[in-house]
Amino acid sequence: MKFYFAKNLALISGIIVPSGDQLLFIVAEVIIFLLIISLLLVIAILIIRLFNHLGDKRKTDFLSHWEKRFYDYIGSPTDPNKLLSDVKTSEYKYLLMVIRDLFSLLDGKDLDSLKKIINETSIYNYLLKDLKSKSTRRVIRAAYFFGAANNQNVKAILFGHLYSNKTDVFIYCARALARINALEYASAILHASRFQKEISTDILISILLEFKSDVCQYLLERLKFEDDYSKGISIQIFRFHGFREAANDVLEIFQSSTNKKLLVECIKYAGTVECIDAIPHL
Amino acid sequence: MAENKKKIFYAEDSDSLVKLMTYKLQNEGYDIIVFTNGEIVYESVVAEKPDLVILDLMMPIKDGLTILREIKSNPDTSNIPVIMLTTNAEEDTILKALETGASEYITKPFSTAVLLAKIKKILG
Repeated sequence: MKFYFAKNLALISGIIVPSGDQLLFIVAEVIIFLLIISLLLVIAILIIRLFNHLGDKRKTDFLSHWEKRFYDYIGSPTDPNKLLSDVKTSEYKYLLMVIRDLFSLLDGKDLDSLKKIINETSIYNYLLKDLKSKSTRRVIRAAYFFGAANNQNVKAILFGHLYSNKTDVFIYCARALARINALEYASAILHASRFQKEISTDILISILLEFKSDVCQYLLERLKFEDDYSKGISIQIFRFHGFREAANDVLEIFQSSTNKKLLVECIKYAGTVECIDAIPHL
Repeated sequence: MAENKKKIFYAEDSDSLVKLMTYKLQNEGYDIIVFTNGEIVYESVVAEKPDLVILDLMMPIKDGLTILREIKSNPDTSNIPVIMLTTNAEEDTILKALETGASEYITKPFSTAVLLAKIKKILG
């Protein structure tokens, strides 16, 4: 068999000049080979389409059965565990799809009922397993929901992901910590961001702005110990929050620093908070 | 019986919010017609004269503020109350919508109970 294959290969590559019969045989072999490959590809595509179709049907069936109950539950004092009583673990992903969009659109009691689904039902353990997994997709999904649901129990796990070599994991986990307002990790986010090659200053600032305004006091207390880059970021956060209490420290940096970027941030801050003391030094 | 139902036009491009609000409004006894973009909202308002229009500010094809202006500049539709719904909470945008004639301005995220209360207040 090996001999024939080697011989055919030699014929095809032109090492041996084929006779008429041999040429026909080679052509037939190539055609059969291509037909088998095409057939396998068609079968693979059909299987994938079948799986997608079954997945879509399962999702549609689940949503048509579950959505009305879910909408009744939103904003009501109903125990979320009752809502999930007959939902299978394999259907949690569909449920999370529906909840995901609404987290950013609803407020008040509606938002509280969404948070309860994440924090007080078996979804919590489901997402916790995701957060501890090595799959980027699962980690960022869990981080999103824990951040949105203000879950205080997962801060340490989220922190562990800050030094991930995957930028998406860093962004989602840092944002989740900020949404939870875990002030004690604000410096860690600043520090860990330095190890992320693909993260821009704008993204970092957008993450830090997810913290409540009390992050300013926390950043101010650590300002002296930070390098110029982190100082610049902190000053931008002060500026966005209109945090006047940092004026003296920013003025001190303005008078002593030679870093142009940092000086620009000091000037912007002084202008925004109308720091009159800075005017003579401009 | 169905004729007594107040008709609400709801123009919103968020699928999840549309489904939730449609369910809540129907439960309250309103007849709701949904538009997922701004293309034919104004023409439909002129044709059907609903009791209330809820407009998302940012929508594909035609934005909510343009539709609001069209509704309010037509004497046939200018009396129809409009609630603006948006993520943009900037003072200028809110003022612009209210000056153009919006009855209410609600910023996302919002509470469905609050929106329903405002709708009830407007529709009486």
